[in-house]
Amino acid sequence: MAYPTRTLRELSRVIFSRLIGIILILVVVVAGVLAATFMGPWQYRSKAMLDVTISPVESSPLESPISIRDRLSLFILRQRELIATEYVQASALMRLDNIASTSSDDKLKDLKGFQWYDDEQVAEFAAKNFDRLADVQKRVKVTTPGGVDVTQTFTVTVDWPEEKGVPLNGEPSRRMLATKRAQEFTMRLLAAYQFRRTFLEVKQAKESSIVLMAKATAAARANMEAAQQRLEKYIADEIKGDILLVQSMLEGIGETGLYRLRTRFQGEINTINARLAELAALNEQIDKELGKGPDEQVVIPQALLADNLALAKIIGAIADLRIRLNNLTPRFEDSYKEIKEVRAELVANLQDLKDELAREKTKLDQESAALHGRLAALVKIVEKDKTEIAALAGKAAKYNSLNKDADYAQKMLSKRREGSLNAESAEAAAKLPIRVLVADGPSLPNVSRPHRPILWVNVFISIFAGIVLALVYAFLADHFDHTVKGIDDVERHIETDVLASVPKFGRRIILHNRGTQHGPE
Amino acid sequence: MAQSKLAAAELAPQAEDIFRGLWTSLFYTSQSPPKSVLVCSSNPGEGATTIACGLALAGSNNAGEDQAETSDTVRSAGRVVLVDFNLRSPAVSNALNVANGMGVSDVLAGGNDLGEALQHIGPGQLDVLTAGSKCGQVLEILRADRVRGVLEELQRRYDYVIVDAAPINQYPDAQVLAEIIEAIVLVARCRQTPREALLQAKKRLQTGGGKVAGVVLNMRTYPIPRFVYRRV
Repeated sequence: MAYPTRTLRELSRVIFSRLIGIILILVVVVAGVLAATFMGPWQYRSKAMLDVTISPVESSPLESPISIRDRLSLFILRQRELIATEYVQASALMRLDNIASTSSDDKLKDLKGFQWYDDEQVAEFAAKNFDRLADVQKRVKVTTPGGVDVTQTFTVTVDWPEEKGVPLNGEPSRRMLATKRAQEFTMRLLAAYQFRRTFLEVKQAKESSIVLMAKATAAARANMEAAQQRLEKYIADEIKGDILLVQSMLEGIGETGLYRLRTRFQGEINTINARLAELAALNEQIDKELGKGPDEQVVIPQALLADNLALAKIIGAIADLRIRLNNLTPRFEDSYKEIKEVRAELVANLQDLKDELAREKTKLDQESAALHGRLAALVKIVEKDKTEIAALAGKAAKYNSLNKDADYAQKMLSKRREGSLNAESAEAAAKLPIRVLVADGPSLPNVSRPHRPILWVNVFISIFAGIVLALVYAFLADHFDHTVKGIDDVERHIETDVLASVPKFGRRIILHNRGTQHGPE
Repeated sequence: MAQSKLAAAELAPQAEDIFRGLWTSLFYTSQSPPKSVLVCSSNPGEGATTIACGLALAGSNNAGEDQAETSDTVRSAGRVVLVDFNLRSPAVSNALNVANGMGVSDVLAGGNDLGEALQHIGPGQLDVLTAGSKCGQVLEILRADRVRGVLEELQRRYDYVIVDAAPINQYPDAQVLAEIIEAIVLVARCRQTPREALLQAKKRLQTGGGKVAGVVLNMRTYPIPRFVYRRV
């Protein structure tokens, strides 16, 4: 600026010297804005409030309110993105177009029909109506209460302008039509959103359940394979050739396997011990019978008689001889030859009996020795078995545990395979844990109260803009106006004193008095 | 000189003080006050003639008062003559409503008697020398040696000589007269005269040997309302 400093007085001078221009600019700007406000297209806002409810099943009583609030906030954020998607807005616009070209009956049918469009139809519509859809996307807004105390609601607003190309369909004015269409589009938008949300969440739940089941099956298979590998490795490293023993040990506790074998040997041992006792008794009886005199009755144990026919024959011969002797003795003298012969034969048979008993005793001793040897072998085997059983018991327990693990893993794998094929489980997983309900339906805007333009805001803005423009005009005009405007101006630029300043009087400053005669003498 | 004329003029009451102040600034505030003053503007229509007439009227009335208040010895010291050297577009005669008969051009070019050309304007002691009737060859008239002689004669006859000249940025007349006249008053019209034009006029006058005593801001406006002006 030409002035080094603009004092308040100079500012006032600049303003007041161009006050008419300033007022004119202000009036023109305000009038222009007001004319544009009233003549231009108005925009109406339809609003709907949606209530978000979290399922009691989904939310644990132990879950903190902050966590629930965060989840809800995140959910609402996703809903905002969903409402802003091309599908929702384009399908709502498609449905609105259908309504616009159909009768009121069809409208009701359309409301109840819910024949929504697939992705291809929507994409085709969006490609054909790209600019229109972009315009609609600017009009739709989703707002949340925000702040610290996030409530469980969010608001969908649609700002709908007056449209020129749409038929009035009996509406008295385009502004009235715009209010109706704002409400109808909001309704279609919410319906499209609810449909799309349900569709996507079910689809997502199915996909996620399938993926989860596949993951679980793969994990179960890996688990099963690992369990089997562990079992096989244990068998190869630790059990080696004892697998049958271990298996018999696990299978036949008390009856089969090692215990059964041990029991069987113990029975044989007991039998041998009993036989040895029996043999010892027989030996003792044989020794006693062998110690008897020739006239004494030799008693042969029945056990020997059963197995030795020679003894029975001798015993029978001795018995016959004794009977003959008894018959001869009363009738003949001892010197009788026959008696002598019978006695001699009896002694010989007794001797044969003793010899036979001696042979039996030898046989018994041999049997006893054999039994002792067998007994010793059996005891040794049993002791070895006991050691082996003790050693295998740990292995068997470990083997049993690994085997059970492998079986369990196998069962789990089978269960997972069955579960992955179960469609119902997927559907169940698709149940929506968070519900969204329209709490306050799309409002019908008041035709006399548009959302845009806001009269008082426009007036305020126009006044402000007018003042700014007027001041800019005043200061620019003053800046480019090089005429002298005051005493200071002259003194500053011309560097000459101002002798006087003659105001603009608006009338003649020199008055003429015709007819008066003046003059020097 | 014509001893009696019917013409009479006076300043409007609201302008009287202003022109008296201008007169005082010119003639009473310096130690060696000028006897002759040239009044011109940079461009036409800026009111130089009106200022010259107003100054002359104020001076003649002042002079009359001074004369009444002082003595007869200083009677001749209050006489004022207004000379219309604006031979391009003479306006003094119109402003003071006197006849533009014999005037400066007649005296300079035609050799007429100076005294016959002077017209008296009442009620003060103001005489007027209009531009005259022979204004065709202005530069030739101004270049004539008689200009200096006429002016010196007027200075002898009058206490104060006020000269109205053509706009300096359009015509060199004032530049020619500047050397002869003791002081120059530049007239600028408020919100009309460009600063550059005023500066150029001042330089031209100084180049011509003149001494610019000051500027008179004519038709000044006061855009700030009084109630605002008092507060800023």
